[in-house]
Amino acid sequence: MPSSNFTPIRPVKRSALTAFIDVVFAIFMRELKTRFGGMKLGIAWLLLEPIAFVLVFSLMFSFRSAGSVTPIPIPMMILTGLLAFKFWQTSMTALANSATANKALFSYRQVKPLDCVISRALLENLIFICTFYILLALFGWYGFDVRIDDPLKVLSAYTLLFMFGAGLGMTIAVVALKFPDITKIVSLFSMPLMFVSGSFFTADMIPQAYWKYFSWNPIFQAIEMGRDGFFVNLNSQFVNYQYLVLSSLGTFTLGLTLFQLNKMKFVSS
Amino acid sequence: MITLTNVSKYYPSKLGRRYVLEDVSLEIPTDKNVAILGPNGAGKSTLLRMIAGVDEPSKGKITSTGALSWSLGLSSGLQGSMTGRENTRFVARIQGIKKNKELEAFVKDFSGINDAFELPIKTYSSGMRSRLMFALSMAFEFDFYLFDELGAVGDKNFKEKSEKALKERLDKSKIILVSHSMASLKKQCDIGLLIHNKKIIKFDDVNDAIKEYERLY
Repeated sequence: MPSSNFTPIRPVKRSALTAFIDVVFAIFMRELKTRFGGMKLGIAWLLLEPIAFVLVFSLMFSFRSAGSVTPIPIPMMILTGLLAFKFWQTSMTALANSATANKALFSYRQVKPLDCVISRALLENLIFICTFYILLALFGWYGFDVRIDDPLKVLSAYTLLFMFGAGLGMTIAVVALKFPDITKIVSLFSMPLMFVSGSFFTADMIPQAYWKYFSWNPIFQAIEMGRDGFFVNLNSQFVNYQYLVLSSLGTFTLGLTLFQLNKMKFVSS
Repeated sequence: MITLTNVSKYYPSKLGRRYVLEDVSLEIPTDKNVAILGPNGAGKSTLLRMIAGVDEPSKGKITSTGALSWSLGLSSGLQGSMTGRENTRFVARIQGIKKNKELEAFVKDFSGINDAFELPIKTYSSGMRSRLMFALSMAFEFDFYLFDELGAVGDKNFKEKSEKALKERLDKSKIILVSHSMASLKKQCDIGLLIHNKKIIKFDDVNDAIKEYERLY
């Protein structure tokens, strides 16, 4: 057996940056395994859920012949809305639980709570990009026009959307230290939130008189901005860029600050 | 050298700040095995965790030179949903060691948990956990091994094996040991740190520390 001639290994002396990358990579691999290791259906579900969603809602819209209201194809409208909303939602919940789910690993001084947040953020972004590309390819193969008119706008929209979700997630993580029930309340609210965030309708499908009740919602704004980047002929007047950028960056800064101020509580609670 | 400079540690509570340590300054030399003594709740584990760099002092500073292990205890460091192998790989990675089959084989073999190495930690008994933890620590060469009551675990066979391995390590490395077993402190340590009334009293001979501990408690 190798134990007799095995010489113990000295920990490697590294720069702070290399150490940080090592730790984030180690947590990333661990998260990847727990995310997809358990169930074989995990990956398939990522694709099947939005496809099922798009099918059901496209069918519903076809009865109402809503195609006349918006210049973009209904299935594409639902796909871009739904995936973006799900991205916001999973980013938020993944980051809200990232520190508590890895609590045992804080026994190693190398592992800091923020490393867990960064690893999960990377993973969620990667999953989002992959599912988005695969689904776009599938839709394109089926015959939809999946060309992105303004890629930079789409990228900015989804970055803002992520920052809003990540900021909320980190805030929830801190609040949950004192009130663990907050996570239940949040999951209770995310379902109805999906129906008012433009997941399966564009702003043009609501009368302009009611826009003031919807425009406070940065998720709706970001989704609409994303669609506007996808389809330049949507020409949406709904997005208030100043409000969207300020609310996303503000929430992100708030979440990150709260999280870092309370980081020791994740380690020793 | 591990240096504590004006270290205070307290926890907030309904009754105000509960001090564990108050304004402690101390130097721990690198060429001595160190015993940490004190009654239950005196803050022995907290001190060890602060030395390990996991817990932060409320005030003051702790600096150390050389490679320190993590605080090796019964309840720490193993993620329940990961297998023994995954935990081993994780600990190697965060120390900057790439995937290493020999290291994993060593841990599996030394811990003696056999096939269970491929099962999630949450299915382990506490004996298996501590054996894995000990084997894991023996796979790395640290200047200081920080043991939090981990010494006295496992059956007779494993005890002999681990004592032999630890003895080999002690040629190059030193240990800091928290234990309630005076016999093992006496056997393995040179100097003693006694936590008493939120202060640390340093004894250059561990036997004196034990005598004082027994007189006080």
